[in-house]
Amino acid sequence: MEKRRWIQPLATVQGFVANEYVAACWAVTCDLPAEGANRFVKGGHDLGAYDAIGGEHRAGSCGTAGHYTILTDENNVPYKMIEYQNLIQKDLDCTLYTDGSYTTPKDIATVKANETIYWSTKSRQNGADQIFQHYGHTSGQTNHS
Amino acid sequence: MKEPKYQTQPEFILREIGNETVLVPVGVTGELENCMISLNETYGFLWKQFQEPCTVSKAIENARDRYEDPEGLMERQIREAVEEFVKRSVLKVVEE
Repeated sequence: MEKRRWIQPLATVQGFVANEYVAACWAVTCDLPAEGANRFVKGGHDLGAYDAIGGEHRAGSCGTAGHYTILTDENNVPYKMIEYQNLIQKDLDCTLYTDGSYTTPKDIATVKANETIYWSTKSRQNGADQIFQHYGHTSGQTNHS
Repeated sequence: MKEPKYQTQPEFILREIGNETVLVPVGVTGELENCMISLNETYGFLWKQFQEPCTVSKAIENARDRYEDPEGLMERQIREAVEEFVKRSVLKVVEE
């Protein structure tokens, strides 16, 4: 049997409260691991790509489908972006930008379905804080949770 | 030292709905009360490993049989996932 590629285990906890608005959300995936030019390879395997400031973007992490979710309110207006890590939905320490120069902040409320977006996150890489510059597209498919 | 075995708690029922795997807590109180836990493919695979008592090493070995791990993250991520499940009382230690 051909082996499948390991991806990071992800679990989403969805709580239900009576008479609460059912939140919609859009899945977001970082496209840089697949599309970025600065590849990094280990053991003969292409693992992803570096962004312009040296952040590693891996297919098994930010490149995993639905690794990020944009939550929308009852008017289908985005208000929060979340990165899934294990069983915990963590508020993403991120900033959205208008384009790939990552210089002009973008209000998340202006994000549209099926739009390419640019955002940065910050986490530890090799023992030091690293900013990661991502780009990807919103799914446009409304999922309800 | 003998490695502990873990097993899923009977209060969490696994259901495959379409192409999605979910855990439904039944009779659970606390932070997972009235929740549904959606698992991606690898988390669903791990859950099935622990439906019978199983060590983490055995789960990792089974994962290596099924998945390629070019980034070398599999073992660490499995151990972290198990630790998270145990911390939230979704997995229990059955043998030490």
